[in-house]
Amino acid sequence: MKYSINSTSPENLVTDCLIVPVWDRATASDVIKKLDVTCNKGIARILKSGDIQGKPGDTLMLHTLEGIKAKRILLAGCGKQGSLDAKNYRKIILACLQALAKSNVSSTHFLLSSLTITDRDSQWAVSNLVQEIEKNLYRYDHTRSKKAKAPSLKSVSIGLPEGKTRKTIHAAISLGNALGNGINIARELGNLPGNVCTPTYLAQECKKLSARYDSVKTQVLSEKQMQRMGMGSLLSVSHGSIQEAKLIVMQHMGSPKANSKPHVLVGKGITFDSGGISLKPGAAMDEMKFDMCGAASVVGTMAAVAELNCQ
Amino acid sequence: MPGSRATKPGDVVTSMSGKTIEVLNTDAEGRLVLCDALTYAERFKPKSVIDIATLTGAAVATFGNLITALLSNNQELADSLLECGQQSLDPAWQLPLWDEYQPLLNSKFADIANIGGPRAGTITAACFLSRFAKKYHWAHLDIAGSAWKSGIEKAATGRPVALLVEYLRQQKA
Repeated sequence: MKYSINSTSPENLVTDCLIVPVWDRATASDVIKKLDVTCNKGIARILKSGDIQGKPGDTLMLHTLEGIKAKRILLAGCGKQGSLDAKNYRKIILACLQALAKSNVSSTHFLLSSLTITDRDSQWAVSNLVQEIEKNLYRYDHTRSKKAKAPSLKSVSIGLPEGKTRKTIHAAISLGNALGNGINIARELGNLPGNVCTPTYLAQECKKLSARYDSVKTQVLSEKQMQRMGMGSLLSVSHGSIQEAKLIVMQHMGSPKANSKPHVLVGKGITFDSGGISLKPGAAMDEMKFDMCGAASVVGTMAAVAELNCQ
Repeated sequence: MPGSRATKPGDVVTSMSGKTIEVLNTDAEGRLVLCDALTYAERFKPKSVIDIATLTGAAVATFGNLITALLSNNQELADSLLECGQQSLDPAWQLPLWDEYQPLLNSKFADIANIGGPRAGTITAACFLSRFAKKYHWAHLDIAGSAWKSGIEKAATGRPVALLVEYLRQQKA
């Protein structure tokens, strides 16, 4: 996804879809009032129709309003003015992304990222928006014969929140991007079936990741090496499987100090948990492919931390 | 997997720490893997160690899909993770890691058993791990509920990446 900052006045913004807030009880936001000056109170009339309440999660797509450069306007309910919290903000973003997915929009401008959130600052609002957009792009198709259709949305612009520099907002976009990407890596590894995502496959994916970042080093310990270290407990678990256990050690060297002590994440990565001789019940046993989600979350976190070059 | 080479209930294994473990239930295998990885982590002289595991059905019974269970041997670390969970909308909630639960892991034939019975499953699993995490500040995130969704929405969620990244971003080198 391409992200940009655009501070053009809303009626002059050239985009496939302009997303604007509506407050509870179909109350026009300041942006709507501004747009209505240009389109001869076209939005006010729609608000009166009762088609949108303005509760968080409500949306209504409008087409071609007179004098407004945007092809569409998506009204997004944002609840009571002055009491928008982080959880509802995320709910609103998800509702907007759902509404966008139903249309053929390739560019959109979120005026929502400039909203005041009671328990967060505007940088958080931007990074969370980007994070949710990136998460929304994820489709699982690794083991499907037909690959997922590329989403129509290609570019997203946002306004510059008051009192913020372009640099801080660009940093917030990068953070959201890294988070979304890290989360998607964890989802993909989790979703892959046990006959694809084996310990060996996981180790290969980690090596690929470390090849992408100078700061990341990956070492994979074999069963023989683990045996020499006396890891009899770990090895007892893989003993019944034809798949060899791996202990994957990924290190992100972000600190400029040579001897700084690390924070260590340990992720459980049982790529399929049958239960062994104490066999699990059959119902929903397929979900035991998810028994490596701890390891997957560590890989996703490493990707994000490397991307952000955390120290 | 079940098979002729697989561990049988009652088998005793020796961990990297030297402690012996009686495997009373082969399905409590995650902790058998984690305990050696936790011992291995000692060599890095870590500032903190966080393990993340789809560990117990009890965590699902307690929190459903919404919340990650958190247990820790250091309250400052626990508070920091709870705060990061709130901030990133990837929430965790703390359960007690009280010594009174430890005797549930007593074994007649090894230093420790790998299960603590049917009750307080998330806590006894963490108690097991705590025996291998004494040398550093440690927190355990049980994501058995939060890591994936079942039913028609069946899919991995990517949690708790947002929580972990938030935590690591806040740490100073």
